[in-house]
Amino acid sequence: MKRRAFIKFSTLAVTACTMGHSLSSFAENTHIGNVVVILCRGGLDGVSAVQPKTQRLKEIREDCYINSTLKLTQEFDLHPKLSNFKSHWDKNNAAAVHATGFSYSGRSHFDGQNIMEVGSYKPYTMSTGWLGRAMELKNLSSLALNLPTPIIAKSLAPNSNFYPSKLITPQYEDALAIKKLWASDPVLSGYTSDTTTSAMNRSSSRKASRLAEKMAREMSLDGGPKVGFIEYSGFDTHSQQGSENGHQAQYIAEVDQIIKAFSQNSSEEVWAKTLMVTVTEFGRTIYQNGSRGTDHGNASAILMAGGLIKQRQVVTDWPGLEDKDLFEGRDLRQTIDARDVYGDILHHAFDISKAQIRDVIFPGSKQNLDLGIWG
Amino acid sequence: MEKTADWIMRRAGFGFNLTEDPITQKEWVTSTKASLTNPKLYIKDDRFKELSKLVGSKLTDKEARSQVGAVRGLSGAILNYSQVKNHEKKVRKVDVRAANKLWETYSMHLPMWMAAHRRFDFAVNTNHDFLNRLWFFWLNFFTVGNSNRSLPFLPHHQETIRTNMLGDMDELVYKVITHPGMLLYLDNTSSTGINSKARKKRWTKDGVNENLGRELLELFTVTPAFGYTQDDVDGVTNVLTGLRINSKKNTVHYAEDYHEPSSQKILGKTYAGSAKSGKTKLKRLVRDLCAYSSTGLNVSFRLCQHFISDSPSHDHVTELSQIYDSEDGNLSKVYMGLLDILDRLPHENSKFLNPEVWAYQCLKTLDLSTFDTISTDGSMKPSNIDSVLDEIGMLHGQAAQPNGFPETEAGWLSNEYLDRRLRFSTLFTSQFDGYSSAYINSVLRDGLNTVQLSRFNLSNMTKDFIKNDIEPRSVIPMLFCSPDFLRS
Repeated sequence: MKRRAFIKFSTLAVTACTMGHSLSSFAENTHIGNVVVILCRGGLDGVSAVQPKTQRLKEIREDCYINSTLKLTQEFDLHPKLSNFKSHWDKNNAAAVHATGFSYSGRSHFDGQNIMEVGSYKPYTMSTGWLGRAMELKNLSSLALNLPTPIIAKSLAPNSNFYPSKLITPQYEDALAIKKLWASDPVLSGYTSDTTTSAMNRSSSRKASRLAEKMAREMSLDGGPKVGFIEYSGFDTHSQQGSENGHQAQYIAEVDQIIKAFSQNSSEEVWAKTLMVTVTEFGRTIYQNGSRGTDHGNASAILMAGGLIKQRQVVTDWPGLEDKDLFEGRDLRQTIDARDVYGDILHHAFDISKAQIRDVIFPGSKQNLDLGIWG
Repeated sequence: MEKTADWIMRRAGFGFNLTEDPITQKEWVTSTKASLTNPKLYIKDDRFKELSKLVGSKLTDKEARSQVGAVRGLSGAILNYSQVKNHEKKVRKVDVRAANKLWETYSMHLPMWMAAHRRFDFAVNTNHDFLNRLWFFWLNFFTVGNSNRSLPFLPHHQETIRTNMLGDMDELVYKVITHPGMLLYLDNTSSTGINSKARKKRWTKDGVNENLGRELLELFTVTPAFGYTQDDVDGVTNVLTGLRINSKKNTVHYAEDYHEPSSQKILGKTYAGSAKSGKTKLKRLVRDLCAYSSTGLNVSFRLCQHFISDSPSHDHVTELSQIYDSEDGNLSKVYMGLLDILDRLPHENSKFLNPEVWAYQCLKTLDLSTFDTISTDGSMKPSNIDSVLDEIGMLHGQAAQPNGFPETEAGWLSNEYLDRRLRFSTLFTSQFDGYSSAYINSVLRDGLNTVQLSRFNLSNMTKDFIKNDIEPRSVIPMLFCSPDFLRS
């Protein structure tokens, strides 16, 4: 496989960013798209999701190598559990970026997750999330379908979240009263006990793909949120990772089901303007470990699907899998800064200039990448 | 006038019972220090007998739940009961025999729900508030989550922490990382040295698994700030190879045929020895790791973050870490230092309570010694304490990742989390099921008086609101969800 076979770096974006844009000019921008983030905590195994066609991998991943794949390109195959992703790929509505990461090599979940959510180069140096800052910049609201608000969404922009509850719904008067009591508190004043939304869904499933259905419906409403977050933990497959089936396959399949659920339950108009994208803290070791699993690695893959994508592509600057190519002799080497990938997504989905992305959203990043998937 | 203990009982304990008279802070600190100097009083456990009787009498799980009050008044319609049972069946498939054998020591097998009830019982019905808070702190510090068949071992893992947290850090760490619950959760039960006899003789294809080794460095001892390398992780991992659960003998042991016999260099120190010396090497390694000031700083920071501030001051952390260093990691001495800091803190100091501590403070405030009094309406019935704790976001064993639940306010702030707090609070005002507590009925009828409200360090705004702006029926949820009660 040729190195730098698919990478596209653009100078056009850099030119555009020098024009600058005022915040208010985008407040009612009808070109604003929707972004749905699938947070894959634990370390998504990029080479399982998008498997390079190389004998080398088969040799060193005896138990984790996937033999029955879906065909993607001449260089890469797709995990068989990503069949819905593949159907969007076939329509030119899906793409992937490979050998990418947040320039973090410490292999700690928690440092890595902090970096992937705040977008910094060092952990615990910022308190807001990169997507939260983008939302704030564009005056957008978001919906997170889990109990906590993920750090990636944190900012001054409004975020609501929902997670099915079995607890009795509080009386409306109490919900109103508590809002009044919290109003003068500098921290709690931004929060509310949202009895209407929660009551409506008390008995609904907590399965991520079922939550994605709800998200699709919420985002399809007039004035609905433009950003969605779905968390899915468990990619940390240190033992018995499996191949076509097994632990990693189970989690990859859920990502696929999330994509399916959202695409089938969102309006045509919303899907046409949507980009769903995975975010993970790191990839996994290229060599399988002694428990037929993989350990914390370096680069991973990013999966993207949605109507905003017009040209299917695996964007990569492939580093190779020989020992000399691997990071510290064990991990897929990062060749594309994930900040540049997500920056290009924000640029196209929310019409945020590359200069603003460099200044506000991913300080220190280059933002000179054009994914080449936008048509 | 001497300070009452109300503030410190909420900050370092589970609050106070409104039906009881306040004591002074001095009295509380003195008695707490006395319990620290005599750990046997805490470790000795007569409450366990009450729970074991339930299982010993061969009650069904459902009957046992009923006996401890978890399902009373629900006339059998326990909607989440089968889910819990199915889940327990699932996790018991493998290694349940070993888990059960561990519990033979206590003449019982403790299901998850009963372990949750036990924590609640300790929190609300014993006089060891500070020690129980420390227990919960360590449960989170040494998180064992629900994966890799670890769950059946969780209750025993929790007991292991409770009975070892008052000694030295290295002993606690050793006991925790060699517990079957942790070995399963962090994938170490088949970790095998590449040069082990088992590999050489081709008895197994298993090799090393670094999950536990990495977390031993990252979470339990020195932290990434120390600057360890992948080689150090590899070294620790090799020392941990060969640890196995023997379900027949009810022990964890070093299977020497599976242990990596080569010497390992970790953080500049060499750990040499044959395959037979795995235990000795690991004990020495843990002792060395716990002797680093970085481990003391890690423990001190986490304790300060839990008890004092989301962003603890350098002075407070240093004060504790110096005790840790000078006392060779003796945790009781560190706790004494922590108590001294807490005793000195101005009562304006504020810290957001995590959901579990907050829930127990709600229950204690209302003089509730059992959990059945908060069963809910008719549609869904999360009347078991484990379900309720899970609903409000903090059931030990359900943390998503090995770093456990958040220690800071930011981690607990979301509309949904706060919505759950209100839902929990309004359980006490539910019109269903009735109340066994005359006290709650009196509060629902008459509200709380000025003297009672003054015990919670409430702002004037909150006090006025609760006294004047709402019906007595809403006093309880408004108090518990007030900004002042959500913090301590």
